[in-house]
Amino acid sequence: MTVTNAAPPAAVAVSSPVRKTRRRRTLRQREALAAYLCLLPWLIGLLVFTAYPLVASLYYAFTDYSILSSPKWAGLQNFRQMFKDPLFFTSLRVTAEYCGVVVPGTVIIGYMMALLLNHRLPLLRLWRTIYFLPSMVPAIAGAFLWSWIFNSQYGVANGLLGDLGITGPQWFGSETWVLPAFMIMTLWGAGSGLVLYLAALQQVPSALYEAAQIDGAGPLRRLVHITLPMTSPVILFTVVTGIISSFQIFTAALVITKGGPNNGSLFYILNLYNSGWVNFQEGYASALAWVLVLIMVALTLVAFLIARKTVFYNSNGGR
Amino acid sequence: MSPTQSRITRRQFLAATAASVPAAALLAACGSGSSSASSNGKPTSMTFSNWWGTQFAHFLPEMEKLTGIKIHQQLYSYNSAKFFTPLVSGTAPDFFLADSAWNGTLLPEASKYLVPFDERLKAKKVDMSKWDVPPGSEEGYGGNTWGLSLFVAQDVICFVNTEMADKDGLLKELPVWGSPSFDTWKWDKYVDWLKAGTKTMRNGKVEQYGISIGGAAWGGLFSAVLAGFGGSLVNNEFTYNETKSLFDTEPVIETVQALSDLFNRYKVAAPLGVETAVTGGTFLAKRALSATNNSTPSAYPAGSFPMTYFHLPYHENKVHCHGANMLSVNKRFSAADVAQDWIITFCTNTAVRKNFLQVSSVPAYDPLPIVQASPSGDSKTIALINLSRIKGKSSIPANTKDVKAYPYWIGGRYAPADTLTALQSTVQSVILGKNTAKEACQAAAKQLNEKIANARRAAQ
Repeated sequence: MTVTNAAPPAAVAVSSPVRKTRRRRTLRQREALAAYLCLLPWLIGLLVFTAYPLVASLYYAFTDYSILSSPKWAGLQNFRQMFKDPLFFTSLRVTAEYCGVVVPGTVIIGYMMALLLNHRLPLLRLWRTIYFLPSMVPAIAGAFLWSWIFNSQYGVANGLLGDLGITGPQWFGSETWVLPAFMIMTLWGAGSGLVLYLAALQQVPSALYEAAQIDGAGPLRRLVHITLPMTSPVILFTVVTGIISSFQIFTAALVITKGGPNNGSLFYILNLYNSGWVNFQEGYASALAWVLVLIMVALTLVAFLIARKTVFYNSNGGR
Repeated sequence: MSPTQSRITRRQFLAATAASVPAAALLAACGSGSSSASSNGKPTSMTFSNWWGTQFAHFLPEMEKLTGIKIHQQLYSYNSAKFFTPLVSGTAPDFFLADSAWNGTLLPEASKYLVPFDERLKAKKVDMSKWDVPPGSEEGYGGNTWGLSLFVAQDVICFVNTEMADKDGLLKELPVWGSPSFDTWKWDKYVDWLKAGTKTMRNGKVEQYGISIGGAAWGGLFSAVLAGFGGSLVNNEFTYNETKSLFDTEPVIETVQALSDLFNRYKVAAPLGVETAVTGGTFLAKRALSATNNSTPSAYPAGSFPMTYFHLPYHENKVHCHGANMLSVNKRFSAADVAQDWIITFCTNTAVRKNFLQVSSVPAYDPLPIVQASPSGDSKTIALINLSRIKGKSSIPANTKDVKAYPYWIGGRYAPADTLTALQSTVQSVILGKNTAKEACQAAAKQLNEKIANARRAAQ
C-alpha cells in the first residue's frame, strides 16, 4: 500500500481556524479598548464627581468634621445627635406633609390635564404650551413671583380674596399657611408630567376603547378599566420621581422663608444645608444626607411593592 | 502594508480624542493662576477676594499708584461657604476680605490659614492708638492679630424717610445729629414715635408702618437691643470659648418681648413675610416711615429718597458694636509680608481713607480727622453718628460714658448659626402667638446648650 502525503490540504484546514480565532479575539479586544477610551471622560467624571463624594460623605457621616479642621472618627455620635435634635424631626415632618400632598396632587392634576388635552381641540398646541409653561420657570424666578403673589399686604392673592370679602391669611408669614403656600406653588408646576402622560395616553390602542364601547362601558368605566391600567407604568414613574424630587425641595424655601416662620417651612434639605454650610458641621450634614438616602430607598421600595398589584405592563400578555 | 492601513481609522481617531480629553483636563487642573513676580521676587500683582461688588474699584487704582502692585479681584456674592471652601482647599487668593460674623469659625483655627500681623505692624511703626478699637480685640485670637479692620464697626441706626416724616409732622422732634436731643431717646420714646408714624385705615388695613424690619436686620437689631439691656447671647463671647448659652436669661427674654411687641402689641412693623417680596422692604417702597440698618451710606441705594438718621434708642445703656470686615493674608502666599504691607497702606493712607469714607464707610484707623474734614452730606452724618459713642474717637466725648461693647458676631465659636436661627425663631414664635417669650427662650436655651456641648466635645 502506498502512503501518500495528503498533508497540505489537511494542514491548511487545521491551521486556518486557529488564526481566524486569534484575529477575532484581538479585534474584540481592540473594540473594547476603543469603547473604554471613548467612555473614559464620563467614567472619570463619574468617579471624581459622583463616586468619590458619595464614599467620602459616607465616611464623614461617622466623623466629627467642621470645615477648618480634619475629620475625627466619632462612630454613631452624629446619628445619636440626630435622633435627639428637634429640628431633625421638624424638618422630616414638614417634608413628609409636603410630599404627601404634592405628589398625588401633581399626578392627579397633570393626568387630568393630559386627559383634557388628548382630544382634538382648537388651538391645541397653544393650550398644551400654556399648561406646560409653569414647569419651565426657573426655581428662583418662581420663588420671587410667588412671594409677591402671596404677600399678605400687597399681594395679588389677598387682594382678590379681599374683593370677595375674605380676609386672606398671612401665607408665608404664617406658620399654619406657609406649607400650603409652598404646596400651591408646586402644584402650579404640575404640567411637568403632562408630556409623559400625553405620550402614554396616545399609546393606548383605540381598539380597546371601541370594544369597551360596544360592550356598553361609559366614559368613567373606560377610564378606570382601560386608560388608567394602560398608563399605569408612566404613573408609577412620575410617582417615584415625584417622591424623590419633593423630598429635595430647597431653593424656594431658602429664598422666601429660610425655613421660617418658626421653622414652619424647614424642609429636610434646608436643614441639611444649614447644618453643612451655615453651621459647618459637615459630619452631621453627611449623616443627614445618608438618612435621606435610606428614606428614599424605603419609599421607592414601598412604591414598587404597591405597583406589583396595580401596574399593568402591556408586553406579551401583561404582568 | 496596503495604502489604506497607513491612514488612521475612524475608530482610532475617536479613541485618541477620547483619551486626550481627560488628559487635557488633568493638565489644565495642574496649572493655577496667582500672583506674578518681578525679577527681584517682589510680586507685581496679587489676587484678592471680596463680596463688595464694585466698591473696591474706587480704591484700587490709587493703591496701584502707591504700591506698584496690580490687584486682581475675585468677586463673589456674600456667602460664608464661598470664603471657607477655597481656604480649606488651598485655592484661596493671596489675601482676602473676611466678615467678623465668621470670627467664631475662623479665628480659633487662624494659625493654620492666616498670617499674624503683629510683627509687621511693629516693623512699620504703625501708631496702634489710632485704631478705633485695637485690632487685637476685634480680629485677635491666641495673642495674635489675624487681620486689620477696614472700617469702624457699624452700629445699628435708624434711617427715616424725610419727606414722609415731615408730611406727618414727625421730623422736628427727631434726635438727629446736631440736634439738642441727639442720642437721648430711650426705647419707650422711640416706640411712641413709631406709633405716631403708623397709619391705619378705617377698614383696618395699614397704609403706612412706623418701621421696616426684615431679612438681615434681625441679627444686628437683636444684638443691639440685647446689649442695651446689658445682656449677651453666650458667655465668653469675646474669647470664642463659650460654655453655655445665655438665651434663658432675663435680658434675652426682654429683648424677644421688646421686638415681638413691635409686631403684636404696637403693630408698628409689617407682619412677617411682607418684607420679603418687596425689593428693599417696605421702607424703600415708601410704605414704612423708617428702618433700622447698619450705619453705612451703602445700606440703601444712592438717590433712593432724602433720608435722615439717628442712633438706635436703647433700654438701659448705650451700646457700640465690635467687629468689622477684616483684610487677612493667606498663609500659603509666598510674599505674605508684601500683602501685609499693602493692607497696612490701605488701612492707614490718608487719601485712601478719605475716598473710603465717601464710598463705603468710616475707616477704622484714625477716623475722626478724616470724618471732620470731609464734605457735609449723608456719609459724614452717618460717620459722626457711628463714632459718637466711641471713647477717644467721638466729637461728643460726654456721649461715650458707660457705653457697652457688643460683638457683631452672633454666638461664639461653637453654635453661631444655631444661635442666629434660635433668635429668629423665638421672636417669630412669640409674634405668631405660639409661645410666651420666656417659654420660647427657655426651650431655645436647652437646645443651644446641647449644641454647644456637642460642638465642644467634637472640638477636643
